[in-house]
Amino acid sequence: METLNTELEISPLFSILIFGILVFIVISLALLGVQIFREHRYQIFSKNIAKFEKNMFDFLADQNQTKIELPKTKYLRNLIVKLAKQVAGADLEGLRTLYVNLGFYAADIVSLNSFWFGAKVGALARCRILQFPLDNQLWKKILEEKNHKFVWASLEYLTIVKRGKAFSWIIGILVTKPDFGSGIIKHILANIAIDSSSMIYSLLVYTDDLRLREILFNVISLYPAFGNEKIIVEEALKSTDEKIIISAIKASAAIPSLISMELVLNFVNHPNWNVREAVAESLKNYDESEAIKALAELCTDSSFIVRKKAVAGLFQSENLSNKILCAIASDINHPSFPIFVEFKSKNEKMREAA
Amino acid sequence: MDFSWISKLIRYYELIIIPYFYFANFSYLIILILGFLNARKLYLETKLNLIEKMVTLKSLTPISILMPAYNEEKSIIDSVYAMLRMNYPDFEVLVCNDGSTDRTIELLISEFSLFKSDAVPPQLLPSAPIRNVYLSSVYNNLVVLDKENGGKADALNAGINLSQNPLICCVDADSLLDSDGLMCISLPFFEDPEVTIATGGTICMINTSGIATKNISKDGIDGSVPWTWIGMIQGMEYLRAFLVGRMGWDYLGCTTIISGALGLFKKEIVLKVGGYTKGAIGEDMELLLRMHNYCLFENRPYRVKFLPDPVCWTEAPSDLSTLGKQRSRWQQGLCDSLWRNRESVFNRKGKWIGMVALPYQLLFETISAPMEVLGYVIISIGLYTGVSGISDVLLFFGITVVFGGVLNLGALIIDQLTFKRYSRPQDIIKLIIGAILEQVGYRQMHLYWRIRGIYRWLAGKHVWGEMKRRGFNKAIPQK
Repeated sequence: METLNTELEISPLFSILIFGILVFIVISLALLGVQIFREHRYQIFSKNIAKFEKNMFDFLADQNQTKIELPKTKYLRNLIVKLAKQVAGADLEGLRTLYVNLGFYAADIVSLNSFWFGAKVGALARCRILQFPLDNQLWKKILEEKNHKFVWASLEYLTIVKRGKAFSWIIGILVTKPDFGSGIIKHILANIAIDSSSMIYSLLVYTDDLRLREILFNVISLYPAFGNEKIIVEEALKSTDEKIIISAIKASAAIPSLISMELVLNFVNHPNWNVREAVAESLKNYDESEAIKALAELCTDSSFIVRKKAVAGLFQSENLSNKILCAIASDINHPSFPIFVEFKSKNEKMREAA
Repeated sequence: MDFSWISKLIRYYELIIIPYFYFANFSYLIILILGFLNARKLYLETKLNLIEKMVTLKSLTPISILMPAYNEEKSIIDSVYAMLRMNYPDFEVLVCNDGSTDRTIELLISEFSLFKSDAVPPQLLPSAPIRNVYLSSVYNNLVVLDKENGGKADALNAGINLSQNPLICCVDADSLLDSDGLMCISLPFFEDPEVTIATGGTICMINTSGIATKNISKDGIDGSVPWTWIGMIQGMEYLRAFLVGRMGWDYLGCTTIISGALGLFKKEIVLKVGGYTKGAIGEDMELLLRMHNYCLFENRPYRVKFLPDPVCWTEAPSDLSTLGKQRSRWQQGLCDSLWRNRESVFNRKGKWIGMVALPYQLLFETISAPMEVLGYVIISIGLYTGVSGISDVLLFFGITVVFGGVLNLGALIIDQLTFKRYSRPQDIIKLIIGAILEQVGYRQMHLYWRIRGIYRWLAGKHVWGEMKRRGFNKAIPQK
């Protein structure tokens, strides 16, 4: 025992070990203390939430600022933002006024100008929900941020507040940040498409970038609110890039008027099954014997997915394609027979369930 | 008696094992720091609420959810309902019943009004014969595949053959996914569909003890740490593995494991690498390593992302025997995956994966268990013969046990500074207790399980081991 004690006394390792354990205990207690303190503070706030909400609604009703008694805490700030998500029009305007008057907006502007990413993210999220307009200088600074998701959210916010005027900003970003993901570009352009279809049209006419064209066609197929794209879609079908052809045919599947059936029929025997799949999807929109004939041909396609799309197309226009469906049903060796049975039984069960 | 050979042994031990553990600890510390940086960044990004906007855009890629199930009668119905409730515009749920010997298929047929379909899936990947394909007359997007037993990898391959969407999400049948889980896990695919090939999410332990019910997620899942020592330890382990390990490696773009419980993959690449390998023990890691290799050796730009916010709730083992079997299997899976992809280890073509991530897995995740056991043996012999002093013992415990405790605390601090998954003081107390208990007694047992896993791998024994389940009834107060 004496040896052990002597060794321990002289061993710096022992001191380090004890120190390590002490640090462990101190940090554990500190973590626990911080958590208890947080919970306690939130509980005090949450007890008065009803009162604060009443105060806020009083303010929204008569806009009398002198009457409001609200603590300028982050909990209140978050409460206003949470309420702002659920209201619109005059109520949203009222909450924005309250937010500004309590000084939260000014603090957010300071945060957006700050160096700290964490501060910027929080401020951007809040300003976006409350839809505050920001000055161009600040927009420029925000869009210079390196984090792609931050810029993505900022661009989306920009399209909400600036509408069509955001177009030039977005093009600027697309040029200066070529490594931006195509999904992000699609999202942003789709946001513009909702309000300003003419912008998409202009971009389709002037861009030589194949990737961007493909994205634009995707946007068109998602938001079919256009009128003058027929020429461009027909032009796209002359492209040698298969992705462009697929996206153009898919766009026509969403808006049949974009393209004549004859043009689609040219691709029935295309070597790429993805193109044939798009053709099958598009042809279901044309209630004409030519289209049904082509779909029947696609029912014997080598690709399972193409056959499935073709059978689905035939089921959609059941009256015209009745004979073809009967032919498939009577031939157990037909390549689309199992798909037909699956669709048939599913349709019947669905009807029964309904 | 002459103990000079023991002195020599201890000298060798000091020259090899001590520097080894210093180096290992240094690596863990680096991963901890990287994990914190990544967690902080991802946490801030979640504040931007990009997910909300994605739903309205309807431009998300359709997903096929694959659920391999083998004898899952206790949890299958809850799991399938949880999947059908997903907040995602276009998805199908494909349950692959892998020849269960219990009532799994009967329960599915009656609960979801299944009827037989004549659909014949294309044989894109090899799999055991399919008995029946069932469709639901209630849920349009539910398909149940009943096949002969062939193992998890085989069931997943059969599911991939039948899947119709470009993205496949593999989920364990004994897991529950947050309703926004698909949305979160598909975000990188939405962001950059060309280069993203796989994404994985966090796995959290579900509390099935039915005791604590206050840490309830928005989907009504009880995620509190149970008041059992095994639960507290595992709670800490999961937190450390996902907030430190996975986050840290993701920061370097070196994610080598996407848990089998939740992973989203680009079907095109999965098919190109030949799907899951039948007979592979760690089929999830093995598949991902082959996907990495394919893209790296083909010079194809790609990325694999680990995400903290899609949470998959899983039932953790509640007794020592099941836990031991699970951990042995994990270790066996790690050895097996590394061996099957040995050409990538220290391969310059493999870039960071080949030169850093895989060597790390080999040196510090595989060899560390025998090294530590060797340390215990040498120290014990030294103490017995009087060659070793108390300082040797302290040194060894300092660099293994105490550092392990500090690492646990680091994970807890990261959680509190970022996602606050465990924000109740009671949970923090339990995790701190778990952090201590893990190092004393449990760590040594874990070493035994890992060594057993390595031995089984070397001996070619593939023991799966039955997992005892309680089911989710106690964990979901409001179904």
